[in-house]
Amino acid sequence: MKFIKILLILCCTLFYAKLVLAEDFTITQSIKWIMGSEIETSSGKLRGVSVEGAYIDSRGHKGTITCIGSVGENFKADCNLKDEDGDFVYLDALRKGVDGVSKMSGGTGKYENVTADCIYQIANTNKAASLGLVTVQCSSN
Amino acid sequence: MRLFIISVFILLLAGIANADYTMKSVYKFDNVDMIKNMDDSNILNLTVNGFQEDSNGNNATSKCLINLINSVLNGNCQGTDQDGDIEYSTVERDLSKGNVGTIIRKGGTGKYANKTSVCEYTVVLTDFKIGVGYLTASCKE
Repeated sequence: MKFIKILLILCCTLFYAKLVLAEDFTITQSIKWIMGSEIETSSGKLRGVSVEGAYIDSRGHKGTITCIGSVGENFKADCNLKDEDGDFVYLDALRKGVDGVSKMSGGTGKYENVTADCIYQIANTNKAASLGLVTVQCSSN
Repeated sequence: MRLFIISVFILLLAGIANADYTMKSVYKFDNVDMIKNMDDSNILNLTVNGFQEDSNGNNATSKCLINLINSVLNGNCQGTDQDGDIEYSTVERDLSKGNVGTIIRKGGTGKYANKTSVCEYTVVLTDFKIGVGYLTASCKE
């Protein structure tokens, strides 16, 4: 019984520490994209896409976003954010429909050991003009 | 005294009836071209393709033809909403005075026929090199 009590206290402490340490921030991106060539794969058609845009985040940073990816059953891409100081954040993106997930896995300068899990939504999009507004919510690990 | 109170009440009601709405727009720059003016300043012409959404539940694809002379931006826009109704507007901003400008709806078709509005807009993020931007606006009809 005593062991369970200690375990519960430990779990509560870890949960609380996680809540305190988790730094939440948001990113707003204005993006445009260019579709590339298309190939047949075992899981259907896959088309290359390159994305460029500008972003601003709730931590006070702003800069540009660049992604190289593919669109098939899902949208998958590898991206980087380059901020006003020239520091990079490396991230990926995976989306099916309007909602997606993204993982930040370090970078350069101030982002060297920064990792975060994010969810994102395509808030507004004009497919004919190949542009969209993306809102991202992140939780630092 | 009674007349004064009634007048204030009527003015207050009129103010409430005069519907306010907000708007946000994501956009990209196309067909950017530039020449020099005789005073060595830049004269720029560009097309801005965008997608806008307002708090009245309307969303529209828009196209603006913009010219920029001596940091003063002027242009004419046409937006077509989800019902096929068209709104015609003008845009102006002095870039040397910051990121705030004015969009004036002159009228249009359908729900915009004889409906004018004045919006003060703020450019939230933009990157001219990449050619994208995002603005929010507060409007009065």
